[in-house]
Amino acid sequence: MKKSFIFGVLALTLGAAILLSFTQGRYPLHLVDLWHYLQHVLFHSPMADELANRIGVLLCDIRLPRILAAVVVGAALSVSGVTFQAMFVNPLVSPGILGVLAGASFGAALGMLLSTEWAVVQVSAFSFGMIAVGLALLLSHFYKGDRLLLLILSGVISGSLFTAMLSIIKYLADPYDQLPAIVYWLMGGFSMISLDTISTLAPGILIGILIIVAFANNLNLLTMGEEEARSLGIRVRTMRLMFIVVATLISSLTVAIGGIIGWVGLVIPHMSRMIIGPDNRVLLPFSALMGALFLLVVDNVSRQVFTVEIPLGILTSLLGIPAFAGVLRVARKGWG
Amino acid sequence: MSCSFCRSLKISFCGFLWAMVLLAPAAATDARARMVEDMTGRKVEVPDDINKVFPSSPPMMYMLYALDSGKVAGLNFPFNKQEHTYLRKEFVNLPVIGGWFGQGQTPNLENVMAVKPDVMLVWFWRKTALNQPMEKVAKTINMPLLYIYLDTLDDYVRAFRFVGELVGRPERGNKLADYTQQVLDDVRPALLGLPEEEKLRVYYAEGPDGLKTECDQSPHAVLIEAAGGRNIQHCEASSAYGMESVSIEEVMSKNPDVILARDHKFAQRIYREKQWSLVRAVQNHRVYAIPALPFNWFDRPPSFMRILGLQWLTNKLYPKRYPVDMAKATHDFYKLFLDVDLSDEEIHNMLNL
Amino acid sequence: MEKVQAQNVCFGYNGSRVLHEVSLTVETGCILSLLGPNGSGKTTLLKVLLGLYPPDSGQILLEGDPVSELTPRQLARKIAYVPQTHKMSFAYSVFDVVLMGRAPYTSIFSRYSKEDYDIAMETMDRLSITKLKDRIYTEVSGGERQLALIGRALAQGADTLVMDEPLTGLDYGNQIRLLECIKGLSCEGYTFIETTHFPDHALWISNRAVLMRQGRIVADGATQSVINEQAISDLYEKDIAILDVGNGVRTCMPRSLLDKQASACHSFDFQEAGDVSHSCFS
Repeated sequence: MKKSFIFGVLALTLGAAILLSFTQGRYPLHLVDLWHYLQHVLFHSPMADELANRIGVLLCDIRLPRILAAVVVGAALSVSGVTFQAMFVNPLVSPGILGVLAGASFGAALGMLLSTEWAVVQVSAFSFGMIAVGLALLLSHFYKGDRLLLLILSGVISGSLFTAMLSIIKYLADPYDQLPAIVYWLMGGFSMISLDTISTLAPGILIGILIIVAFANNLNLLTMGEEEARSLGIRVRTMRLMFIVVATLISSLTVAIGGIIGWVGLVIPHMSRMIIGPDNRVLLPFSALMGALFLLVVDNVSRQVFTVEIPLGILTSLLGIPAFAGVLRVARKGWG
Repeated sequence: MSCSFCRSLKISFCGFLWAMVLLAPAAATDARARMVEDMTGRKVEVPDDINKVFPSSPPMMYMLYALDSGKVAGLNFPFNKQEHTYLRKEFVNLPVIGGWFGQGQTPNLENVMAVKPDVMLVWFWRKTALNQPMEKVAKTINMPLLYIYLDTLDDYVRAFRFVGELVGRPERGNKLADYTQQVLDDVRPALLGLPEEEKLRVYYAEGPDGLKTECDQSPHAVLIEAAGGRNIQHCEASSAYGMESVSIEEVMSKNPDVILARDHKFAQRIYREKQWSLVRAVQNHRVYAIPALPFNWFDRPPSFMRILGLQWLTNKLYPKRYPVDMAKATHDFYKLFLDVDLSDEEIHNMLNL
Repeated sequence: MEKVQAQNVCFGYNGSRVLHEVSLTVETGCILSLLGPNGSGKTTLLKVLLGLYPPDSGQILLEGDPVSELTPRQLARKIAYVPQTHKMSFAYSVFDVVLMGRAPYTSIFSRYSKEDYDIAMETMDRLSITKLKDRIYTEVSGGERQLALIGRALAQGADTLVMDEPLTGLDYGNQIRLLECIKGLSCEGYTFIETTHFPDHALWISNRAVLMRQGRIVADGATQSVINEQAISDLYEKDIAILDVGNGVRTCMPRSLLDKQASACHSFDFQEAGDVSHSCFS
């Protein structure tokens, strides 16, 4: 009862935030104009073509893609964070644990070095995110022992390898155009976003989130540890592989949309768990909403508070840390 | 017994090392030295004949190339294919020894010594944390270090004369300086009396998203003001590096008359993207891709190509006030500065005509 | 009726053999105590019996069926694992933990049904831990945690419970409460296989004792006959006396502590006692 109330409040807040976000931006758009535009669209009330077109572009081509991107990426990062934390039975794990972010960073940098087509960069980022995790999985099979520990170690190896290769790319990149592009991309942000990109990539993310949420109870059982989960009837290896693949897939897609946006995947799962508890059946959808709300708010700040935009990755940290510290104070006991 | 042997070995080894250290600079320094005053007024002793110069960063290196490519001791970074086309083979094949320009390719001292530079030339932009390591390196290998101003186009006029004189190519230095002065003397009167409100508002788009830009106070965007435009991004540069991020709505609300695009792909794409469709420059088809061969005419790297860039930009902004034949200007510039005879087709492609 | 059977089971990790030719048959309703020094392979045997690790050779039968042919879900409905009370990273409620026992009955998308909730509640009632329902698992006492894990095993519907040192870390009262609980469930027909470090506990509740040493079963039979002075002394390499305290009740006592008064510490012969902890001095 209490949980569904919190849920309802959060969902309503997100909805309101989304609506409010349409009215926010550096370009001055008066609410009156917005109201007239709505009437124009809904009831064909007369409106000057130029103005209608301007508001249309502003709302649908500029603000809508960014709002969608923030919501989808925020949700995806926190769901993938929750998944990895549960799977590794460790609340300090972040989505990058198996090297997906390092791989995607390398992939994007490589794309920028070899091509000037943005689509190539996106495909390359996505692919290398998956490849890095694939490498970690492969590596972990060469060793015997505690599977989870080996997976983490292999993730560290794979991540470090791709980080090192990223440094090589940075070194090789032309210092005037390619290097700054790489550096900015690594700080994350939605400035390259278009309706096309988001409508191509968002369905994949949404399906991924749905799959993870659908199997949420298996995730609960996995937090009991490998042996107990097995004794409770779970095919641990299969399930774990499934979660790794899907969580990696959605975090790779976020990277293709907005570059490396840190912190969200670590902190939002934490905050959500403090508020709603560790039961993944509730926690996953809840943290998806929380992540969406958080990134939306941060991106709104990013795109309008200053004349120059602060890269999203920096802002997520700057705003996330105090938020986290605040929640820590009122944390439900035993969240750890 | 063994200990005293050890000690004597140590002493003789030390002595050997000292001899090396003392001998090395003695060999490098020419006995016939002269005192010169660099552009910041420091008095420095330099050899009479300067055959090899180590430039600390690309702008200095390009300038030396235009003066006399044979005097360059080594490269700051390897050139890409595009640049190869327009530069002399023996120059692009010089050893890469790095430089101090904030990109990590800091030189290895031994590599610097191996190319035996007689002096080191440093663009003195402002006193930064980099000056100290550079001065230290110069001192360590006993290499004279001279500061050169290259901030404005007027600085280029002076720098060409100064460095030409320094490296024993005064005629060449004066020739390039005279050309530069001539360009300035042509452009300035043409813009004289341009009312403030008629000045075109310019947005300088960098990055693949076109949403990185430079503040009007930044040395990266000096050409906009020099060509009589007004940079819409009115701010103090947040760092020497520049590249401020802005949002598309910010650009829309400032509604520039002209967009200068660094990324040529972006310059093509901008006309198709709905987000940009409301910007005046896009509606009026005044988005110009900045020519970038062999290096950018505008900035990054800042180089003497700005002298051509100034003509190009002034002509693009105010073709009536400054009706220069850009094809001819480009041809002459390449011939004079780079010793390259451009074909009409090359010029055509370069200028995106 | 044979519940669990191990036939000539050999097993090892990373090439080093832990279990050698272990054969064991456990009947329904039996409380079997596995005793042995550290590293004797007790816990490993439990995990192999649970089907968590396939044996290198030999096989495990569950009610006559080879474990290797059962799906994890089928297995989970028959045999349940009650691990040592562990530190959990996530703060589930006690009820959530018990409810997890219903996992082998849920659909592919694992939604618990109303029935699952009811069974979990009934199980908590049965163990008298209903009042802990909404308490956080990580915050209740060790004994309550162990009861919650037993509740989870019962909710699983399994009638064989495999327990790894269930009494470790519990205070004396909770140890007794847990043993009573095991005894009671055994009377209802549940089968228990547990490891323990205390021969006394085996003497109190189990009707079957198995002694293990270096991966081999060295004795197997009725508790009262298996646990004798000779066998226990050999097993732990300590001189153990088994005292009859009346009514046929027996208890173990190390002879080194038996002969001397505890207060006579100053005259204690360390030579004789061997490697007694030096904490005696502090």
